[in-house]
Amino acid sequence: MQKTQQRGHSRRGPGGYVVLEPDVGAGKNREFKLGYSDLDRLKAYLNRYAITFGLFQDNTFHDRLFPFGTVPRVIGPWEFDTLEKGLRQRVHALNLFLHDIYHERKVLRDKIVPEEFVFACPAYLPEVYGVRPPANVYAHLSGIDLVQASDGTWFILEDNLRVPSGASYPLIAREAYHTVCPGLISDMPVRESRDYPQMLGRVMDDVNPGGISVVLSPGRFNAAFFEHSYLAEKMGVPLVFGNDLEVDGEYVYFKDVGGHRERVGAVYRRLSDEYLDPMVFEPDSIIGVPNLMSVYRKGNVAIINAVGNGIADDKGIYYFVPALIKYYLGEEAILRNAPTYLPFFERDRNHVLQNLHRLVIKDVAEAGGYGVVFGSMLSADKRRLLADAIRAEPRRFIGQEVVEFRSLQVFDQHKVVRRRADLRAYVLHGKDISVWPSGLTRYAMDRGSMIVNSSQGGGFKDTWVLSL
Amino acid sequence: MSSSPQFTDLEYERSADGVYKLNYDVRAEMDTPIRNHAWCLRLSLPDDDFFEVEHFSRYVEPECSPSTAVDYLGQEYSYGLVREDHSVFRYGLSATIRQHSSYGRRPDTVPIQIFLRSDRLTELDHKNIPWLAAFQSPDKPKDPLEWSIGAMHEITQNMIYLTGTTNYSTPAGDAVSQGSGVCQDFAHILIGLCRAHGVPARYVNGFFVGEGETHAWVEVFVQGRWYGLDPTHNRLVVQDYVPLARGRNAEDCSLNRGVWSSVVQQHQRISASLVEVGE
Repeated sequence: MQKTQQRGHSRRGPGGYVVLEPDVGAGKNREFKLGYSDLDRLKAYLNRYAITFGLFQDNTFHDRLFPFGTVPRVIGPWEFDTLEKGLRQRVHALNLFLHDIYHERKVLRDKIVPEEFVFACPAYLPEVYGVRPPANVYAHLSGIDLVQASDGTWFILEDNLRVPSGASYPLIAREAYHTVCPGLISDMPVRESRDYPQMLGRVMDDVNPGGISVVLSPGRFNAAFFEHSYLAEKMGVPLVFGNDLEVDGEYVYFKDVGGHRERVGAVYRRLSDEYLDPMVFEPDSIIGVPNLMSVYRKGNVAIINAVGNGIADDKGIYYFVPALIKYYLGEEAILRNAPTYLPFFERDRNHVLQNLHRLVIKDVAEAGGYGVVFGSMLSADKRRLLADAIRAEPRRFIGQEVVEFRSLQVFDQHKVVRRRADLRAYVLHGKDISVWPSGLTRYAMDRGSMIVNSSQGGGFKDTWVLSL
Repeated sequence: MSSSPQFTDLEYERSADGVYKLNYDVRAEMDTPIRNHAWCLRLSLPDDDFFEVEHFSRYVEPECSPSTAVDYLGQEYSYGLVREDHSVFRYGLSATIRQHSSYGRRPDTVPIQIFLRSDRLTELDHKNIPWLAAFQSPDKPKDPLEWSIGAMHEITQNMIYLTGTTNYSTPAGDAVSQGSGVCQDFAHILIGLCRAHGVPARYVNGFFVGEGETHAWVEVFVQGRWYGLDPTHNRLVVQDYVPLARGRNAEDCSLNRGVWSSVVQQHQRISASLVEVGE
């Protein structure tokens, strides 16, 4: 039987196309659509870049192609406006929290956050206690993960304030759209996102106490090395490894191949705290810069992001972020957390234990989609084991309601399927706080799956934010 | 807590006055020259209420205009960079010190709770070691100082001092399993026990009268004061000790860290002496 073609549906066959959602052209009596042939060309364009990410599985390192979903996610102007306000508010509060927790600790004295959640957390680094980073900015670049429920409500799933990555993927995808379908992207009208490197560069300038800016990469075997080199090139700053930098006296310097050296004022580091300075952290680290922490302590270099940020994106601290927004800013949180229970509190613990079958339980020490357990998928025995573990170490877990989040169009083997997706938004904090008008949309590989992490086989999309 | 401290009969109350001369010298010889050698040395006596420094000098060779910085515990340290080839790296200090007190009351710069957090070096698994089983209950002891002294006695009775059986990165648990170790291991074990029972404990690297090398001991925080315990010698730290670095564990307190970019054999000659010279 021949089906009538409806708006919002894709037409199949060689001349087929996908109508982008939300269907913003509907009122203007026009369709914003991507033809199958364009979708194929987009895929080919991205394949040329061979965008990979490293995956550590069964103790071996795999380089995987990061699947590219060619149909972009579209976010309308009003919707993005709310997101933007909420994200700026959240990062503002988290930055104040980081300052407080490494200085006066008012938030603990006022009992907004229980002490145990800070001092017992390995991410709380005494090494930076009392250190004031240049311009007092800690969270220069935050990757905030959100999901949109089926009714349109956005929920914060996770904050990433250490070394959030992934912005280069939608950036390259955007280049592809400008090459393959320049008409569509200017008609829609999609907000420009290709100035992300400039936004990041401005943040570095804002906090730089003197000298040049650099991108510090752990090396070409790092999972995100592609991104390090891409961003350095687009920002027009040197891409350096640890041994290209040296600390001499009060400053850190970049030594170029000609033997000249130049003071470095801002380091966008893509290695984690424990490898940053072998004199203070992991003594065997050969990818760090010896004595970097000494000049950092003196305020003579900005490290982006600040050292010790892990305490702010801890899964246990997440629970308290709405309270932190209220405490530091005197405002209600604009964006909601996914409903979360903390077994640390007896009332929450009882609720979690009684509702294990419908909650998602997360181990606060794990990341990248690991240590996430859906109670509904456990056998009775396994559920009992989990309950015992929660009773034994309540501080280690959080319980969350399962948010039935929205599925997006994914063009797969010449048909459109629906996959659940989240959004990583990038928030930049220099003199001001701003939100990049794009973001990394990650989708689950399998139908019905809620795990979108790239380390678990998920793919990515560009995110188009529309202007008014 | 309302009760007043009950340790008037303890040795800590004894006068700890005494004047000491300290000499410390380390000479590291490399079999092939190294260059671009970044170093970080703890060669400053802590600004402390345990003692008063009457004379102090230190040196680093080859000459390289060292810088100083202050760590998170408020302790000064030196760092620098030797660019040119060198096959000898030498550093040391000499000082005259007057001991004042046997416990420290100066407020800490960091939250005391960080000295309760277990770490890789001080973590203990009580289950498999019979003598540790007595410490199974994680309850906070009523008199934490008495309790810590008791724990120190237990360590001395169940551990053998034996060099060469552990190294600088041996966790306390491994030392306990094999039943032997050196001052660093003894200190880590005592710290692990204290922290597991809610008594803040920190590691001290420094000098002890008569030793030819550096020595390590422990300080516990009880009712607003830091008290020293030496689990290697099973004694209270009242006199005859000079601290150089304090921290969460031995790694925090290493006196010398260095980084250079070639593989060399290193031979170190260390001499340390702490002698009491009277009033």
